[in-house]
Amino acid sequence: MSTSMSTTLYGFSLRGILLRGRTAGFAALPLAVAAVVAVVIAITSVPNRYGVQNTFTGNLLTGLVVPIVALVLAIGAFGDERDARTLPLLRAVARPRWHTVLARFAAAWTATVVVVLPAAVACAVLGISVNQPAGRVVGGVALATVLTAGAYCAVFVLLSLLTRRGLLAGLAYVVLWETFLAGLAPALRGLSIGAYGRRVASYAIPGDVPLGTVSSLGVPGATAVLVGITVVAVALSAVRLQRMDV
Amino acid sequence: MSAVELAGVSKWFTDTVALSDVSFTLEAGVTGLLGHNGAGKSTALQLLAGATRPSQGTVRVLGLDPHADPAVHRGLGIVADGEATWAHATARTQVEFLARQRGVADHRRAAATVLDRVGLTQAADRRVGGFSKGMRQRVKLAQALVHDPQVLLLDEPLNGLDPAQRRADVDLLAALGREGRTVLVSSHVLSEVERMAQRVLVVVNGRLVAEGEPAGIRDLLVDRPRTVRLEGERVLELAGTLLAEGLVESVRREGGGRPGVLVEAPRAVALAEAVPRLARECSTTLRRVEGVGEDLESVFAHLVRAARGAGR
Repeated sequence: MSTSMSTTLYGFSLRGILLRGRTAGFAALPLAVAAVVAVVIAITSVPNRYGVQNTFTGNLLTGLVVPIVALVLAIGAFGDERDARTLPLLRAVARPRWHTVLARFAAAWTATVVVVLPAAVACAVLGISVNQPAGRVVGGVALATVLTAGAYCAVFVLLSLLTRRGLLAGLAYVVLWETFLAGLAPALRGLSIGAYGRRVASYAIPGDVPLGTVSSLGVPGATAVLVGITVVAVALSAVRLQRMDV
Repeated sequence: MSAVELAGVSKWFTDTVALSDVSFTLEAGVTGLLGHNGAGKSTALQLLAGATRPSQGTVRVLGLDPHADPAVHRGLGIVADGEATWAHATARTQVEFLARQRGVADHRRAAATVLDRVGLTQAADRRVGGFSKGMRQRVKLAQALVHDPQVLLLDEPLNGLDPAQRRADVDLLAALGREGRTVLVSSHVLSEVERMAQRVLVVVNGRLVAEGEPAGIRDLLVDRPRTVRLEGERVLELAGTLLAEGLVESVRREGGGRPGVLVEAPRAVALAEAVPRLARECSTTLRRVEGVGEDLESVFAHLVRAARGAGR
């Protein structure tokens, strides 16, 4: 019964996220990236695409598209429920509240990966077009996309339970911290999800090409940190939902 | 053990006291929860629903702490204030979803049954986002009932319903009480509460100021300002004497060609004690002495005025 209940909750949550108007709106962002990549491949020579691949995979995909899409979709996991006053209904179910958090997080994560898929595929195609090993490119882009999306979604789900202004706070975090402040000093990179995501993405990119703000850890270390951030944020969300007033 | 129990419960938000030392228990049947806007009705229901924790005191529903223990929701149904429906989903989808989350084995049959009971069978497969407010209220009621709960907490469940729907839902809630469920209903429409509730709790400025049968509450408040209609021979002389003795504050003839006079008495008991004696002295033959506006609404208004005078 419990697995069946969890599947229902996950499916109901996923449908809710995918049927929102704003999800369709933000799906245009990865599609635009994919379109630009197609143009780049059509008009540039292979040697010139190295730098472009770096920019698209490291900065655009993991540094902008994934966090923005994750922000919009994951903040709604509980933020929209709060606005529609359905959050009390989500709590009024006869099951541990961490089940609810896990299902909502999983739905936001799935939706984010699905929405950013065109941009991720385009980045992988771009990598393969510069004669990188296909398996390494696809694996690197896929791992970076999935792990970065998971970490961002977990953090934004937590944010949606902590504040009514989660979207604003998350936007400030992405724009100010991830794209600006985290790059100011090496020590700050340790607090940037994007820096770990770009390190994982570097698996798909020639090693000596700079990727902007990148964690000093290796790919396995960055992977472990992203997984750790995800687990901790989901656990904190479960505690928060259990204790909060709705 | 009572199905619902509040013991010494207070709830405050920063510097605002929403409930102050409220205690009551509920047994099977419908109980009305009355109060003005901001009186603390919704806070009391939210505490019982586990949506919020008391700042002080204990809350138990079916013997469990509703905030800490999700298991309580197998036996607890809630109609919350506000929208509380998923606009993107059909009525059937969301009712089935909640049935499943509350452990109902045959969730499809349960949803179909309850949607039929609230009159939504025809609209069950339409998205709730396109529903009228009254239909959404019925979806909320179906959500609350689908797992056949022992305890129902309904916050203004009749809001947005047209008169026919209100009558139907009053009958439905009364029937739920007769089935042995413990039902707590808040409402501003006091006449409807009287029709469905065997017991009434009155909350004013966060305090429980009265509880009992609707008629009992009126009895408790008999010595309040009341308008009394007097009818009989030489009734004007009697009214003049009452005025002179300070037992009434005003006298006016009844409109519409009716023969009586209406007197405003600040203390009804004093009036009741004096009228027989003064009627004899004035040689008045009284054919009728009756209160005017003897509904719960007037009682409630008096309670509100009295408690507001005491301050929060």
